[in-house]
Formats: sequence, structure tokens, C-alpha cells
Amino acid sequence: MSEMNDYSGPFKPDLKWEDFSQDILGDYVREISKIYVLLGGIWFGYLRERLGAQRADELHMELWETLGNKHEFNRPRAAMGICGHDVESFLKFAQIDPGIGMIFDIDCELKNKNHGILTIKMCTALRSAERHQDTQAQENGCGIDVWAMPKVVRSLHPDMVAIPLKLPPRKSPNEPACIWEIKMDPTHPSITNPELPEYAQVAMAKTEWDWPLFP
Amino acid sequence: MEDMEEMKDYSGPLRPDLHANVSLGAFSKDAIIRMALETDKLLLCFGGCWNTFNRRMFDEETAVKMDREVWLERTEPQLVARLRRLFNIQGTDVASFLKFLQIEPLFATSRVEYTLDTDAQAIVTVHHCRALEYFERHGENLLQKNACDIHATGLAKAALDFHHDIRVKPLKLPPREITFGKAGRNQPPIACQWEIKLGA
Repeated sequence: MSEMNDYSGPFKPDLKWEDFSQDILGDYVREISKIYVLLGGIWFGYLRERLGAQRADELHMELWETLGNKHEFNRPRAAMGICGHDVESFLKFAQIDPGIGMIFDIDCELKNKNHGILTIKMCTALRSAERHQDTQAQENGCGIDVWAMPKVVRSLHPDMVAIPLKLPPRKSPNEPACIWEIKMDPTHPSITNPELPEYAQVAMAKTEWDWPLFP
Repeated sequence: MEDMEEMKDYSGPLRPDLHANVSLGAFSKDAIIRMALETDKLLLCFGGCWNTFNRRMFDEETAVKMDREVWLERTEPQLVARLRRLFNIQGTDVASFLKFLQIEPLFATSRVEYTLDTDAQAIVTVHHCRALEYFERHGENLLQKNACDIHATGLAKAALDFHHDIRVKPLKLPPREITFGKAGRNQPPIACQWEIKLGA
């Protein structure tokens, strides 16, 4: 029997994933990934309506501590056999992450084994915040990333750092959403960068506070 | 891509040309299925994490109310509409609803038996449910009750998206009794069972 490109045909009681074509399976992964990210937005919106922006911000981060830093970071890597603890492994994860590469248009440049650049060219979450002129949602969403990204790379290797080179807001939709430098740098004293917007500095300060002294 | 072999996983070197959001075609079908199931599980983890989190932050009643509103009112309609559109499931009958269940993340990661008795009636039996097994393993009775309550309401609501007259009736629901024999835990009873019926 040939592979199915959708499920418009008759009901199959013994349906297996293998019955579908690779294309539709890929589309399915992306659709569930979109719903996953959308759920984050729905959840944040709900908290904001009920509890106000500041409290929603705090609670949102607590939720992502478990969900993002553990499940989202580990499940796709385990499924795809990404076992390394280097910059390259992080970029590979970013490409297949349901919260990054699976739904956003990204570029990964590995300059050398200890240095890479992750560029998120198109981010639907940022585009939605821009379209609705919702600065609060943008700062919350990006703040979560600024807080989480250094933590996840450091959990991969204690000497690995993620430094945001460019973050929203942006002046034009032609600009990339954000750019990150990922590198091995045991001497890097701090990730705080006074050039960044205020929300990013607050999120980064929280990351440093969360980090254990002896990872 | 034509001259490159499909990747069974991503243990090899970085491929800068790989754009997962455009195509996962660089990977074998097995790898994509693994990724699909992990993404399904991740979505379910979201539910579990926020429920645990809500119960820590708020009282039980508030937590359940928040869960129901976020999942049933704001998320489930999106999930149903998006998956129906993606898989082109246009029908409004019982069989079409079963087709949706087969690709819905919770059912897709469980072991489920679908029996379409007639065009208007079916029985869905969940033999293995990952979520229930997690609750049982961790003694999370309250979480199990909340999750199953929401799921029962969600199923009935999703069925109505297909046809205003499709009814979902639970025939058996958790909790279930786990017994132990000489060789350890006995084969547990089914997780839950549902009758799906069109019309009275």
C-alpha cells in the first residue's frame, strides 16, 4: 500500500505512523511544535489577564525552568541521538528544537569547534508581538530566552556561554529577530552586557543568580 | 539532497544547510516518527508541568479552573482545527473523529484499540496510557483525577467539533486496581474505554 500524504481516505483501525509519507510526518512535527509554542503564549496571556504582567512574568519563568530547560532541551536530543557536549551539539539541537529550529527560520554557523553563531532570522512569536504592538509579550518571550539560553548551554558544558549579540526590539522586519554567539569560554567573567535592552539585562541577571556556584 | 543518504539520527556532524522548519526530509522516516512522538510527549509535558505548577501556586479549585480554561477553552479548539486541516480530515462522522484521535498527541503516544462497530458507533479502548502510568508510578492521584476529568470533557467537546450530535460516553475510567503476583506486577486492566455514538 502506498504512503498517505494526508488522512482524507477511509478510517484505518490499525493505523501506524509508518503509513504516512515523510512529508506529512514532518509537517505533523512542525504543527505540534507550533501548538507547543502557541500554548506558551496562551498560558502567559491567561496569567497576565488574571494576575497582572509582573506576576505573570515571574510565574512564567518558573514554568519554563522545568518544561524548557529539562523536557524541551532533553527530549529532542535523546530522540535524535545528539549526545555531544560542545558548541556543534548545541547548534544541532537548535535546528531540531520544537521551540526554535522546527518552527523558526534560523541559520547556524559553526566558525570552529569552540565557536558558533545562531541567527534567528524569522520568529513567529516576535512577529505576532510586533503585529499586535504588544511590547510586554515581546519582552516576556525574549526575556525567557535570554534567561534560558545561557542556562541550557551551560548545562551542556560548564564552560559554554551564550551571548546575545542582537535582540528585539528591531527597527525593521528585514532585520533578524536575534543573534547569539555560542562559545567555549572558561574565562568569561559575566554575561551581563550593558548594551542590551533593560528587560534582557534583568533576565540575564536572573540567570546568573540561578546558576550554581559549582556546576 | 538527492545524493545524500537519509540520516537515521543527528549524531553526525552539523549540517548548516539543514532547515528543520522547511523540511525534515534529510532524516529517515523512523527518525521523523521518533521526533513526532517526542514532540507529542513534550506537548503533554506542558499540561503536566503547568498543572503541578498551578497546584503549588494556587489552591486546588483555582488550579483546576485555570487548567480547564487554558486547555479546554483556548487550546483544544486550535489543536482540533489545526490537525484536521493538516491531515485533511473533512468528514463529520464517527470514523472522522476516530481518525483525529489517532493523531491527537495523547492517543498517539498511547496504545489504543479502535473498533468501528457501525457507521454511527465505535468503541475506543486505551490499553496503555503514558500519562496514567506516570500518575500511578508517582502516586499522583489528584493529578490523575484532574487530568482524566479534563480529558473526558475535552473528548466530548472535540467530538462536537465534528458533529453536534456525536456523544462520547466513558465506559471505564481510572483509577484502576493494580495487583501483584509472584512475578511482580500483574498485567494491569485497561486504562479507559469510550463509546462514541452519533445520534441518540
